Amino acid sequence: MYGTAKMRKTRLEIFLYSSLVISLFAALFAGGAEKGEALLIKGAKIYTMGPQGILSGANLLIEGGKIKKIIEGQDWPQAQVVDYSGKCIIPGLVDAHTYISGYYRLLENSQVVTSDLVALAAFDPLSPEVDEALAAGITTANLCPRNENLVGGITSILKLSKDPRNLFLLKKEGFLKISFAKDVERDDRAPTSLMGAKEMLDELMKNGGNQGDRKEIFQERGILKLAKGELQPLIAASNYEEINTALQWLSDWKKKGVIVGGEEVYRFGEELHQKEVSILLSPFLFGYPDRIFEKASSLLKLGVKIAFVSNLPEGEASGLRTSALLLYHQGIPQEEALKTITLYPAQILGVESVVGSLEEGKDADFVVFSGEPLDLSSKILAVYSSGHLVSK
Amino acid sequence: MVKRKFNPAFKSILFLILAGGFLMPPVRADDVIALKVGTLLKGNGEALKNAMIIIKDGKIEFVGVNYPVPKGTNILEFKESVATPGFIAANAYLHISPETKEVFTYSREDIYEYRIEKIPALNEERSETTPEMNLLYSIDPHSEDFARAWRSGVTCVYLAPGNLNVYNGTGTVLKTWGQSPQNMAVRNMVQIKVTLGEEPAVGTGGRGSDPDLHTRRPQNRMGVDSIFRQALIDLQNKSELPDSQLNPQELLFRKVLRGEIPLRIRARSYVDIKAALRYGEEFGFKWILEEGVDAYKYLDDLKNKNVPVIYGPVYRPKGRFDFNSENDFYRAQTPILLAKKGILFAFQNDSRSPISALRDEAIYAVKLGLDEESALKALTFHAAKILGVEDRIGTVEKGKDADLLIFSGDPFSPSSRLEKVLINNKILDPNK
Repeated sequence: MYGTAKMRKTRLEIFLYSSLVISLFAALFAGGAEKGEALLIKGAKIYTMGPQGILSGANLLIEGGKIKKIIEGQDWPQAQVVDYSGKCIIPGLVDAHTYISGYYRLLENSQVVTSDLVALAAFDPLSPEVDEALAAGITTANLCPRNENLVGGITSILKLSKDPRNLFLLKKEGFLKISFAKDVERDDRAPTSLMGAKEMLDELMKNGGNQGDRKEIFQERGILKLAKGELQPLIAASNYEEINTALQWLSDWKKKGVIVGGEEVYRFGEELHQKEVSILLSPFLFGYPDRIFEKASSLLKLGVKIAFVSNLPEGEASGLRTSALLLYHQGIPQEEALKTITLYPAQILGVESVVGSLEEGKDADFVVFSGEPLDLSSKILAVYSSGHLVSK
Repeated sequence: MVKRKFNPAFKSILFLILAGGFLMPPVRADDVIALKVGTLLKGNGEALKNAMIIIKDGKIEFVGVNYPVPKGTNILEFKESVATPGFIAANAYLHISPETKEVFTYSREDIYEYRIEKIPALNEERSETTPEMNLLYSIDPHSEDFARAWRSGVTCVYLAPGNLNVYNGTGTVLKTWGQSPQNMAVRNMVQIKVTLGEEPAVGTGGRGSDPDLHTRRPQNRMGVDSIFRQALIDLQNKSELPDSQLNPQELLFRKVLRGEIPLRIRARSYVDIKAALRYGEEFGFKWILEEGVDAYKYLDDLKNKNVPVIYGPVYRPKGRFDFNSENDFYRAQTPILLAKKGILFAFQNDSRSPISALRDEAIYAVKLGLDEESALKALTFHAAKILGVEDRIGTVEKGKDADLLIFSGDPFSPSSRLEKVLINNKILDPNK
């Protein structure tokens, strides 16, 4: 049914006035927001993972994809309100080691040293793993080349999004992926052993460091950056001897690094803390998860930075939360356990100023749980990334 | 009797007309073709009723309503017909060389599935960076596909080497009728063809299986990314060297970085379009998007960067690459979205859709809502502009090549028949 001309006119007037009022409000209160829209997440128990600790019944005010304020027990009249009373909110999970968008896309197995490759080139925002990760609450991922190359390439740290237009990079070049894992040893080419791998890497670093009159080889650009200190190494090592080699290599070249895998990392203790080496653990690929969590908790108590990773699509995206839960069962406080999948990985990746905790000025990435986050019966109600609902 | 006086202005006009008639260059009857058509669509958006076109030595001498034709000239009359400029395939896959080759490819979703495809174009597989390759002299001008092209109204095609390298080679703009490739060529080495995505990984060995002696880069997009950037970064490092010290390949890349030769980037998937946009920002070259079926995802970016799009083909068997029902709708709408946004675009065919489907692409787009003017421009004027040959072909104007099509009716009605094709001086009958 359509109104008469007069009605239409009044409707038009109402529309004009309301749009004027809205735009005035937007101009007055938005203050540089993206679309002049503010979002108020109301009434939830917030695990901020920051200095504010746990806030119950607090409100999150979000503007322009960032957290503008955390207000306790107070409304913000100009904002669109979403009520999550009685629910729990934790920051968006950070997965520090993933193979999202496929196995072969992240493996350039034509050479052993492919340090110039950038993992971003392999990223496919519409791949099913992105869906899986977002549904599990992972909003930030470190995309890594595979373990099969001695130097696989450069990792990319990005915010996950299903929209190919909104690819947001935190760091295009994060770490240099180096592998001492069993996968790198093969009969038909060098290196065929762990000794050979270390020797080869030493040689590369030596040549990369002092070029002399040697012409720069494009495939060694990443090594060169590593030698100059522009990149940090991310070393895949899981057995005792591999981790030992990695630690030795790090101290030989006076580098700080991150070790990923870490199946037998519990056999090292104080040493890791002294050398300031962080550990990324992928628990569900191992045979004895109980032992892992027991030792992980003791490492945490020593002060070693630990983060759990999913290794998507080899592992499960939901594995992050389950890992934190199993750590909680080892007597680690709930907040500390949750930090191993939020704040600590963000700190290890060097992006803690943007993601990893809910603080003013950081990205509004968070996961809403129906109950306590480390209760298996509570489920994920919503996942927000930069203030936008990305999964439900 | 009143003496009638002529108005001086009228007098001068009369004089001018008479003088013009006498001063006009004498046109001999034997090398002139005179055409009269019911409607002429010039290709640049203008239309002319009852038009007359005079062609001399393969060039258009006159377009208008009336022209003093010398006696004895045979005037071809097509009173009910519609004439348009010859269609230009801004990218064509033709079986131009007697040899075709069977290669293994794989679909995007399932990399384990190998299939055999005939690659009609030429691939030099000694390296992934072969921009200096030129296929002009490898063309067989009597190939059946050229006849298929002009029989369907395509008078001009852009041909480039195949897709299996990252830098494949330079492309050529060719007429579809001629005695030798040299005489068919409108312009040679116009753009450098680049393939992004996983196609260059075909034929490099490895890929899932254990690597062997023949395995080399690229195995996937990361490798393609590195090869693409390596070539340009290597050249940037040589910026202090003069042109004379560079080899032909490096000279070509220097021209790319200076913006003298555009890159023609084949990026079927949105992932690769995004990568191409990134490269464009990083190196600042001019580029053209080829096979941009996913272009609808980045309309704003393409508009801001002034990137022309070569779109198509829609006509292809379903499920070949990454067609799924959700994307199909937008992909079919892409020409309309491009026209609305004001992005320069043209149509193309590929190895699975015949060259004769080029007009069908436009008819399909018109059926979905594209206006006929934009559709005709995409087939003629804009295609010529994208190829950088708009000074020679693309519209029916004085001084341009006489590439003309004569349809029995509206060219975008499927029931209209193509009656005559003119390429340079040659009148061809597509129905024989």
